[in-house]
Amino acid sequence: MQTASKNSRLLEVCNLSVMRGDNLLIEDLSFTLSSGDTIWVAGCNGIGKTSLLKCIAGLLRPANGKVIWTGQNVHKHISPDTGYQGHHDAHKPGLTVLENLKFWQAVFMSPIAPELALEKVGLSEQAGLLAKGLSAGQSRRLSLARLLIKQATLWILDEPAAAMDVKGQQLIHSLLAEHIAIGGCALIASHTAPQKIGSNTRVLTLEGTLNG
Amino acid sequence: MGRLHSMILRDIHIAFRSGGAWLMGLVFFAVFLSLAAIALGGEFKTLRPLAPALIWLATVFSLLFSFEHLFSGDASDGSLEHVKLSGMSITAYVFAKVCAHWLLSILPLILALPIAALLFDLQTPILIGLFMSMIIASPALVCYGAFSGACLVGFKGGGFLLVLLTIPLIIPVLIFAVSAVNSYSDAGLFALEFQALAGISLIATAIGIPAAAAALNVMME
Repeated sequence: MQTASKNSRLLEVCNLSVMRGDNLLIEDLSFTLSSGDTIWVAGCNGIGKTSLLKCIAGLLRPANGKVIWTGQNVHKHISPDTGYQGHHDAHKPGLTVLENLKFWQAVFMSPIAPELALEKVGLSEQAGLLAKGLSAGQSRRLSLARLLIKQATLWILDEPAAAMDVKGQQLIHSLLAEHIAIGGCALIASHTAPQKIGSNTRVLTLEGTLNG
Repeated sequence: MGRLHSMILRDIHIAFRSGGAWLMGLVFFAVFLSLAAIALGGEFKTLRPLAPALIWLATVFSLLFSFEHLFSGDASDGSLEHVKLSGMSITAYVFAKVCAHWLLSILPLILALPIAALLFDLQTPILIGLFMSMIIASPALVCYGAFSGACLVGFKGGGFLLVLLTIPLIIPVLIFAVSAVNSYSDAGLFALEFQALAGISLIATAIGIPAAAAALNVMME
């Protein structure tokens, strides 16, 4: 994780337009995200929350505008300092929970022990279980463990609470609070009510305005 | 553990736990050769000259359908996005997938060659020629297949298109490989056909892997 002083500007979204197929979902969107900031992205189904998050992560090319992460355009140089939790959990059902995580640890070249990440998300007892034996909520927890292993500054979470029980939602909140407290920042698309995390939590409603 | 090493090992682990699905290519190879031997009368005198062509055809057919799922699993479960966001180049990822595929699909066929030689009563120079042609030509087969597989990630009915896309690329490999086996006893590895196969494999590796990576990048965007 990059060290960033509190309130230093990390992410700049400049005049971003995002298309899905022939539909223009987002037009001319601009905002910035600094160390310690959280933005909740709200909006009805199909409005373009996932496309926006993918575009900011660098996974989807924008129709117009640019996304700058610590001075670099993410669509020219993808930022490995981004932790992304999408709709798909990216686990291999034929591998155990621990094997899945060890694989990602090697890919991310992370010093964090997978066992420690599993303990943080409450999956220590399931470490030896094949991933296909996990419930949907446990599978989401495992993808949170991957997020912890990556140690990224920017967390982009797409419906992190989907399939999570109340304890799981509390876990997400505490992990986010911990991440923000150490200087990280987060963009979260969620259908649940936005919660205040850190001192600067904003809500981006995709019809569109950014409310402080 | 390095990234490439982990990716190759992961694919091997997944294959070994898939209940033997990864051996389907080998099963197809054995069934094809056995049926061909029966259909052609079973006489060694008739089978021997046809053996290199039959063994190479069995190899191509047993590999052809394996490329459809080479990248589709990682693309559909989101793994590919995380690989991209890790900062690892997609070209390196494709290279790891190709290496794992070679180990899981082609190595078993190469190891089964002595048994195929028994079936057709092949002499040692022909068997060595088959070994060498497979080792030299297999990078071309896997890289062309990987390129086709990457182009068709997300397509419904991609299997049929994959055959259409891969066959024209593989035909020169097939022609030179069969010819190389027959000329091994005369000229050894310095036969023109082996040089041609080595050239094709080199080009296929140099172009196929970056092209497959480019196709995957376009698919993700």
